[in-house]
Amino acid sequence: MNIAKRMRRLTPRKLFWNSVHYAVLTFASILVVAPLLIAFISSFKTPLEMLRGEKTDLPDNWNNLQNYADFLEGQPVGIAFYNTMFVILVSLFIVTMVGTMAAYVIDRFRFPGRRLILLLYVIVMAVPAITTQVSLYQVMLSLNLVNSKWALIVLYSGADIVSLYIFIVFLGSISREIDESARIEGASYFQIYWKIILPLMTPAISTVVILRTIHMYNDFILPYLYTPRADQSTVSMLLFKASGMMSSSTEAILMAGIVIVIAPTLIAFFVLQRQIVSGMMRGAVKG
Amino acid sequence: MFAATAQNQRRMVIIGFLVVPLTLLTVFSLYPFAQLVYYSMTDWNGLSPTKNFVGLDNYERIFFEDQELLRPLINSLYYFIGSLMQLALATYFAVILNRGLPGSNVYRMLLFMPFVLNSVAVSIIFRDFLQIEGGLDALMVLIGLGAYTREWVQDPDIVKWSLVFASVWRYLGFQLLITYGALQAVPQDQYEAARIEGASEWQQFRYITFPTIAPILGLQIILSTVGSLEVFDVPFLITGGANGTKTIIMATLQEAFEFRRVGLAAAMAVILLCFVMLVMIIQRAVFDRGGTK
Repeated sequence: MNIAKRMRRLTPRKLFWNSVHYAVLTFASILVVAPLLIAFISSFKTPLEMLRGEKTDLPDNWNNLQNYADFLEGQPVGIAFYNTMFVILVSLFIVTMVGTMAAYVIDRFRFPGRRLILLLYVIVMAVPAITTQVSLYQVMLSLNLVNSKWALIVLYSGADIVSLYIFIVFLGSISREIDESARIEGASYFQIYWKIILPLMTPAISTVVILRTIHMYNDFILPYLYTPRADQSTVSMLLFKASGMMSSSTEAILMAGIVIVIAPTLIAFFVLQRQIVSGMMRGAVKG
Repeated sequence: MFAATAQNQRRMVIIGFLVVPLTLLTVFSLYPFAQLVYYSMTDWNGLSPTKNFVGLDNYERIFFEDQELLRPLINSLYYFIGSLMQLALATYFAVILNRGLPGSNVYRMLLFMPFVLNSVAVSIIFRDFLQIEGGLDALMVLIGLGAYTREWVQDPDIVKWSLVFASVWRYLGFQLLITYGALQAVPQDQYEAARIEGASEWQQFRYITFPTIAPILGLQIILSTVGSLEVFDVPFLITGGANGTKTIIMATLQEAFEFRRVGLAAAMAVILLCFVMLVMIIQRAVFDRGGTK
């Protein structure tokens, strides 16, 4: 329907309601953006400006990058980003390989114990991970994984049932005809997985990659419990530790650190918004 | 002969592809779960080599002797109320954004944005925003509401709602997106027909939109209930649990890692887990009924 046609139907009453809707939307958007914007503005302010002016005042000098320099110098930023990337990439690789393999076997084969395995996954999915940390911590201690970034990797990939669920549901929607005919032509089961199933699962894999990357980059509880030491930790702990060290006089430096951590997400978000939104909608319905 | 090797190959693929995920499942999910239940019946402190089996003593203590322990559960109520308001708001936004008003995409993106941001970053930003003479106060002064500023975090009557606000800020966009997704399933020609019949916007919502998205809204209420029992990040990072804002997860972790009462903490976790399970079972019951209706 074109806009001219639409405009003609705009009665005064409708016009009124549309203005109300716009006003509410704009108000909400301002509330969403304001805290972020104020943090961004603060990251360019000098200590004196922070002390004297209102939070909403603009900085005198937008080229004042001293806070950024101070944060980069005083905090282990490089190692935190390196650890975060390392944890994300290794976990994504494990989740994708292990998850698609398991989904392939569970969806395509009928074997004794299959129903039991499915039942176990359903039970585990219903148990919120956050409640079992008390005992999981002891397991991690005995495996000597506390204070190692491998703790994060095994937990992000090993205790991730939702991704497996997404893979199984997706594979269930793909017809078996292709792998059955490949079977008749003499392909081994492994070849079928590697050459047919894995490529076909690309959409599900990209959903999982998006959901898991956002989760891992933003998660706080696991790094807080398992990698309290800075040299093994992620950007969440970088900010957490920095915020514990800073006082009100160094608030602007902390804001610079926050901008450094948030900026990559925001850039990725605006570049990939279509994929992220559809990935979220697809992944979220599973609950 | 050929059949036998095919059988072998099949077995190898099944075992080979499942051995890693099942090991991970056992070590990092099933075993800790069993251990949690076991710990909850001991007096273990997390360090000592001996744990004494004490039966249901920990549970007795939580329910009958030391009722302070479950007190943080009350705070979940605030988050639950907050999440209901959040759902109403999210539904309203989703419905008006779904009409395709010019600029809808921009608004949808902006409202969803907080959800993809780092927990710690967002919490620190809010800690500053809600400070005395912080960003919120400055904004209120700017629009002439300076007289209504409060001690958002220091005042015990207000702080819980401030934290709920921070949490709504963070998760509203996510619910908006899910509801928006559900709205795509509503056939557009029904609206067209309703408009020709002269149905008002409210009538269109009441008789066309609402029935279609009701199941998703129901599911979101259930998820919110579970979510409000599991709140941790935002209040922990903003107030550290001070001023009566401790949540049950915070209390449990504190018992286990700070006060070294692992047995007691495990019992609290098991109780929380039972609550969550109960909510899930109710969800199942409600949804199955909805399905056969």
